Amino acid sequence: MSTQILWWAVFSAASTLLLALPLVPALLEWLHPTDVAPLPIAREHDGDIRRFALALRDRIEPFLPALADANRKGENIAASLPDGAPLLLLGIPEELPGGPLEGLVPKAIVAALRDIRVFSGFPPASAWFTGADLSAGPGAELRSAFAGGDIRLDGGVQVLRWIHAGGTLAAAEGCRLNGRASANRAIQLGADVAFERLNAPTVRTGRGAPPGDRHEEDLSAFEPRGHALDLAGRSNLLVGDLEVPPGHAVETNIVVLGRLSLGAGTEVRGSIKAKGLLEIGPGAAVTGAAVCAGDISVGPDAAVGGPLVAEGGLRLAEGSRVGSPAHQTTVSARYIAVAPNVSVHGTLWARDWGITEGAAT
Amino acid sequence: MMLHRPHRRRGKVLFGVVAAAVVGLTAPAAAGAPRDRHKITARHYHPSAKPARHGRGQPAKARHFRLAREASAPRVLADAMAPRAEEPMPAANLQFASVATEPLAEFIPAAKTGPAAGRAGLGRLVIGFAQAGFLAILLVLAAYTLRHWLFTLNRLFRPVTAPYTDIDTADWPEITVFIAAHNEEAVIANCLEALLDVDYPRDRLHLVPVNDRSSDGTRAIIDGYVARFPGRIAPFHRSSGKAGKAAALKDAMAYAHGDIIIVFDADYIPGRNLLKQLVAPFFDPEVGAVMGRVVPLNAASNLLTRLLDLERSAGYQVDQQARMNLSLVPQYGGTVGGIRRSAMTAAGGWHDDVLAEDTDITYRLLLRGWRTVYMNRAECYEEVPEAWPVRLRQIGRWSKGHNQALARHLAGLIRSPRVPLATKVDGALLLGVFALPAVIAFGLVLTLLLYFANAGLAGAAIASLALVAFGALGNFAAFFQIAAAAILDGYSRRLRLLPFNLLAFVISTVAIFRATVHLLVHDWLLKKEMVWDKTVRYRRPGAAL
Repeated sequence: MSTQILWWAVFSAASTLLLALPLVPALLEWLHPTDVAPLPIAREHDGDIRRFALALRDRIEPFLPALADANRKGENIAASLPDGAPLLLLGIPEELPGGPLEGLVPKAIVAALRDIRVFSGFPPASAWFTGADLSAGPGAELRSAFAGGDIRLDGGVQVLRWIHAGGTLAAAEGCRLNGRASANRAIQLGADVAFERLNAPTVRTGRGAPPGDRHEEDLSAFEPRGHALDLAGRSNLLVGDLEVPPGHAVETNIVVLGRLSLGAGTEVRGSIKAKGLLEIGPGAAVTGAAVCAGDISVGPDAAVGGPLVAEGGLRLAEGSRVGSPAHQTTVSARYIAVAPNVSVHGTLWARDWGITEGAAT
Repeated sequence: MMLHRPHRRRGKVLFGVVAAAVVGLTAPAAAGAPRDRHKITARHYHPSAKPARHGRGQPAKARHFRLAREASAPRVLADAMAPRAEEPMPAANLQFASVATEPLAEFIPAAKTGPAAGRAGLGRLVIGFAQAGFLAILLVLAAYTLRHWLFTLNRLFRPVTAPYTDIDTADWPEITVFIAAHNEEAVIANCLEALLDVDYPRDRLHLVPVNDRSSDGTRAIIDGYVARFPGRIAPFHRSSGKAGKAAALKDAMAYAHGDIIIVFDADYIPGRNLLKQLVAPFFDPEVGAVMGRVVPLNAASNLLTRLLDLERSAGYQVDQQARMNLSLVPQYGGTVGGIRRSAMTAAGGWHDDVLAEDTDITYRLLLRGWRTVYMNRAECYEEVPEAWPVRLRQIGRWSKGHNQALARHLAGLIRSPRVPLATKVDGALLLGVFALPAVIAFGLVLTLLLYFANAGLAGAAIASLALVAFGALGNFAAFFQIAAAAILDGYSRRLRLLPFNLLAFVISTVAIFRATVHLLVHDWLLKKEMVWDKTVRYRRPGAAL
């Protein structure tokens, strides 16, 4: 009898233990919290592509008098930022390679008020900062760079994190622009330039798209047909595919659940969306946005007011234009291919990769 | 003014399934166990007892117990219920049956002839319906379970669909931001400060605090900001009219400019980039509404807020984003979200007779062909309840509003020719999340009915299905979703609290069931006007964030 009671006691205790075991970590975490803070939200983050560039400029700003002094005296000075990061103030940038401070470069922010030229094989600094122009020789590597003036990247230069030019940023053939690249005036891309996120009032390949107001008054009106369902106001929802014949004008927004094809020279005075392929024909124009759940093909000399958003791939053919200097916009897709002589005003953002095609002239 | 926030209800689906595990499993499991009321001594069911021959060698009560056990064994119901004319039940047995299952004694199979046979037929019919109902409930719960798994696996292994997040440069449209406020003196200042600091073209931004009949210092605070920032805030002080957020927003539409309306509750603190994030999807001509992510600011306050923090993560990071990935039905949640004014007008405008105007709008837009999108990176802090009574009132309110939307839109959704099948299924399941506790309760009643009728559960197959669906998939699917969310957020140590979420789910289930009954009886049967409770605020005026 007593043995039976003992077994029952042991069984009960073991069962209770097994049931309580999963609660032990919970009880400990409740009584001695280790992870209670609210999930972080960067409330001050405004999405500006120049965020890192401007942050570097703000860090360097207190040292500008010392930098001017080094520039005036013509000497290179080692210093450190308040957070302990090493800082090299260059009065004679051209003496840095091979000079006594060269060993500090890999971990330092290198700052100057004069032009800087970075050569291939030179140790990549934590960041380059100059109030003037910056250039990088063929095959050079820049982790991050800020120039108050222009930036010129020769063929095969690789940017690892970000680069910003107060004027124009020019990237020659074969450059790799990882991360963010921005310029206050323009970004000029050569052939075979890989990029992720670009922003400037004008981003162009080659000569850029020819200017011109494509608004045509004598186009025939096109009424979307098929299974059109009025969404509201100027929007139409269409089941299936839609092909707008060349030379027509559409006055409404169009949402197509299949494939949407705009013929050559057509004009949509509104926004368009397709769930399948979206083809914007040669010389066609969309005054509003173009959105696609698949791939978008923008034909030669076509124009989109923007934004231009593809969940899949995007190709901008020669002579195409997105946005305008007065109405900057965003081009975004997983993969982006840009032909020569294309202009994008605003942001060009490839989520996976972007590349410029052909030999730009 | 925090009137209703059904957007935070995704997590509540979880407790439905978990509660199913708790409620649904216990009843079927009990069906095979002896009960005191049978007055069976241990020796009658002791494993060492000799198998008793039917009708002989043991007391009548014990014989009946054995009959009941057999009925629960894997035999088909018809067999168990079939009259056995060639083997009439002894009188003693029948007498015991009337004691054991008194309410259903007349349905017990017995040697019935004449009028008794008719009653037996009715009994079979009732039992048949009960079994069919039980099976239907099982299937519904299994559907919710599979949905949990689908969403969680999608978030863990599939790429995120967020095509609008990259739109950082655009010709931003003119918008109006409504700040819904009812007695919000504790929080309204923080919200206004944050909105005055957002990164959006000033000439295209209209800030409209909708002060809905506040009796505290809300009006004075708003007017103070109006004076400090001339031309930036145009308040709407509402002193009369129908109560409720929907009614207030409906009246506030007269103050709207532009085609895009953004709505915040007064306890929300938007970041600098939030408005652009919420507006960006509206460049897509198919988008009628946008929903951002809500993050509890007071997560560290106590156990309840920590559990709610986990639920919120699951609801947004997994549930909403998975719906977005799968092109299903992300839900507009009434705050930290936006609506295309022309779309809403085309869909009938604000309805002021609903408690969950956000769910109502989501479905009306869906049925009109508009799409609601979710922006996981459009994050905003909010306050969550710090006391259980507040939480129960809040979830009760959500429940009533959501079930009201269920009643209004389910039939239209199913019939709609323009909504794809997958979207219909997801939309129907989303509509039903707050009806689930009532379904579970009904399932419990059916289970008891089947048990007391000695009808079994239509064999081992269904019992096995119940075991798998409730006990394994259901439980783990719900917690899997929370766990996946915490890991995706990068804060997995808080997952140690996960077992406590079971407790929260059960409590919430009871609150939702109570609210559902109240909705059916008080609001619909007695036709009383629905009322809303304002959620208590915990922040002190002027407190640092």
